[in-house]
Amino acid sequence: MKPARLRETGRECYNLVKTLSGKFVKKSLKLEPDPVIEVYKKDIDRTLIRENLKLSVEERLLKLMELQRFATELRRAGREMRKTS
Amino acid sequence: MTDFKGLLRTLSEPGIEFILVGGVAAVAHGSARLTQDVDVVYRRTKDNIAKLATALADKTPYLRGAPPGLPFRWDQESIRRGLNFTLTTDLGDLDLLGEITGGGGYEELLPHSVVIRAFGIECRCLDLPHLIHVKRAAGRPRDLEAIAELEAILHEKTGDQE
Repeated sequence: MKPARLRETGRECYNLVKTLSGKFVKKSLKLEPDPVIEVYKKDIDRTLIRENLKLSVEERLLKLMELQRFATELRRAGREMRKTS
Repeated sequence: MTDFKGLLRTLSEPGIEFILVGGVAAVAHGSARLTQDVDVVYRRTKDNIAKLATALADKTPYLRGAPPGLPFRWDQESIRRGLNFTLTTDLGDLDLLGEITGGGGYEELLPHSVVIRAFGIECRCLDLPHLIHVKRAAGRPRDLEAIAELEAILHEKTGDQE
């Protein structure tokens, strides 16, 4: 595939690439900053991201399952508490 | 609770063509956010639809949020007549999507996917820039924080200046 032409649509910019079948597909997507998302980005905990990036995909999914178990247990405990109070 | 490993295995072992999108794809890329369901875009070919129908048949698929007792049949005909299915299964919630906003169908997403390996399974996952692109295109306010996190991950991975 070779880059064919650059097209800009609003906040996004990408290369249109011609495939072997002659069809054009979007490639090399370049994301332009969105001011609203930039505001949210300030509160993102980058230490969590850096720790996650040290893990393999499998380890990340296992961590997600652990987190899900924890959330389920918290919900159960909350229900119990409401029942007894 | 969702059995992510079981769902991925159920879809991968029969050779179903699908691309992981949504929250689980975000976790695969490094997101720390909790997600409950597995979202996949499946290829809408006759052969792939047949494989999907067979693979999930014994997992009690049912329309999520629908009242019990509806005459819902999980078979090739139902999949062919529908497009996007939000299902509950014995393994957890599964969203089978024929198309997604800003991304299109399987064929359009394929050039923007990467192969990931987990639990001895190989499957396709939407790449990070395109995952951000489709989440932006969906335009849901609840996704704003998730998009911000994904963009921060992209920055961490590529070292691009913000």
